[in-house]
Amino acid sequence: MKKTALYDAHLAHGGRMVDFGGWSLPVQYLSVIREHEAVRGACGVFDTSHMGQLFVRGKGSVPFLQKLLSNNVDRIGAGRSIYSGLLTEAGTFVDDLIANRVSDEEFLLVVNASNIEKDEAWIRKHAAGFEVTVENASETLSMLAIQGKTAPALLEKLFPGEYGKLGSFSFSRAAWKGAPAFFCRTGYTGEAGVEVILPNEAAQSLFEAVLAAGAVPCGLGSRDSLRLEKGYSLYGHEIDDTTNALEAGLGWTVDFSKPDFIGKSALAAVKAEGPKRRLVGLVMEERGVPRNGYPVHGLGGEAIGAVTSGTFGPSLKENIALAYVPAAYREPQVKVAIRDKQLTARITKRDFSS
Amino acid sequence: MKQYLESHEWAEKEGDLVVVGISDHAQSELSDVVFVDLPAVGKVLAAGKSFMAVESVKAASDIYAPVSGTITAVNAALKDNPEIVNQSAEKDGWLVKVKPSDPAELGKLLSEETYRKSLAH
Repeated sequence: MKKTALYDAHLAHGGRMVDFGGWSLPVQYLSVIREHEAVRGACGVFDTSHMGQLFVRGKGSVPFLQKLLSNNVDRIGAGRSIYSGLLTEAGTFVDDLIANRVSDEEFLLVVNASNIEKDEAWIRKHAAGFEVTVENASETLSMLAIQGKTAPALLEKLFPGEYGKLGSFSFSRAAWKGAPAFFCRTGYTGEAGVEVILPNEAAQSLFEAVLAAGAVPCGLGSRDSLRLEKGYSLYGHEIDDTTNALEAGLGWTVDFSKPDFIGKSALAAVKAEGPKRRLVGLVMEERGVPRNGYPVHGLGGEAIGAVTSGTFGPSLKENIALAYVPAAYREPQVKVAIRDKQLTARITKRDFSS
Repeated sequence: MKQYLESHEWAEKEGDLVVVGISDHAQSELSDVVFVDLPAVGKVLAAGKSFMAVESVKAASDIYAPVSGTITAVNAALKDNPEIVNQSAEKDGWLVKVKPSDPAELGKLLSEETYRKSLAH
C-alpha cells in the first residue's frame, strides 16, 4: 500500500489506518464525530497528500485548458483558483479538479487520488498539438487541509499575514520553514481554511506545528461527513464517467460561452432536452442511515434511482444522503430501501446546511 | 460467562434465554454508533445469519446470530441512545434476548480466552 509522508505521524497520533484506494490513510483518530465537530467549531487538519498535482506549462496553456476543461480558466488571473470538470466527449466525468493559475502560462491542477494516472494519460493525449508541457508532481508533493471556524486565527500564527489577504478560491506562494508552498483558500468542508501544497520533506513539520497550535487531527471519516453535509460531490459516488455535469448539478462549472471544450456538444444536447435525472439531497424522516447504492423508490413503490452517498450528519443530527432521481419526479418524498425496510425521506437541496 | 463469535458478537445465558451484544473490541472498531436497527420481538433467528445492523457514522455493520431461536426482548434504550453501545458494549449496551431453539449451539461459540487471543494478531 502507498504511504504519504505523514504515515509515521498518523501512527504516532493514534490514526486508525485503512486502505483508501491503495493508500494507507487514517479513517479517524479518536472519533469521527469529534473530528467533525472540531472542524465545524474550531479547527482540524487532514492529510490529503494522496491527491494528485499536475502542472501544465507553456505558451499553449490557456488554449489547451480551455479545450480540456469545462470551466473557463481565462476568467481567473494569476493567484486564483477555479473548480472544473475534466469531461469526456459525452459530457461525463474523467475527473473533477481545481485549476490554480500560477502565472499567465502555468497552471497547477489538483486531481483526485484514484484518477491521477488516468488523468495524466488523458491530459497528455489531448495535449498533442498544443505548445504545453505536463508534469506530474504528485509523488513529490504533500497536501494538508487546515479547515475550521478558527482556522484563520491558527493560520495567522503559522503564516503571518497570508490568510487575510486571500479571498476564497485564491492562493499565495507562502513558504513553510524555507520550503516553497502553495497556500490555497480552498477546501472540502464548507468551513474557512486552506489547503497547503508543499514538498514531502516539509509536510511533517507543518503537520506537527498545526497540531501544536491546537488543531485536531482528522481522518477520512469526518472528511466525508463534512463534505456530505455541504452537498459536495465525490468522484466515484455522485460523479463518474457515467454521470454528466448537468444532471450532477454542476452546470455552474460548465461555460457554454467558450468556443469549444471536450464534452460541449454532448452537454449542449443534454441542456436542450433537459437532464433525464437530477442529483438531490435526502433527509430521512424515518430512522435509518442511507448508504451508497441503496435503492430509491417513488411513493408508489416504483424503482427510481439510488443513493450515491449517505451518512449520519453529526452537525445536522439527521441521516442524510445524495441520490439521483428522475428529473420528472415531482413528489416531495421518496422511499429508501434500507435492508428489509422502505423508509421515507424528504427531498431537499444538496447543501443540507443552508 | 460470555462466549463470542469470530464476527465479534457475544452471547451469555440468562436463565433460559441468551443475551446478545457486540464485543467491546467491535464497538471500538466501529466507533460513534449513531443508530441501532433493532429487529422486532418475535423475529426468528438462524445461527450464523445476519439479523440486524448497527450503524456508525462510517458504515452499517451486520450483526450475526450466535444461536438459532426467537427474539423475546430488544434493548429499547438504544433507540434514543445508541451511544450506550460505545459506552458499555458488553453490559448496558446489549442488543437482544433470544429464546434458543437449540441450546447446544452455545457450545460451538468461542470462549472469552480464545476470542481475546484471536484479537491479539
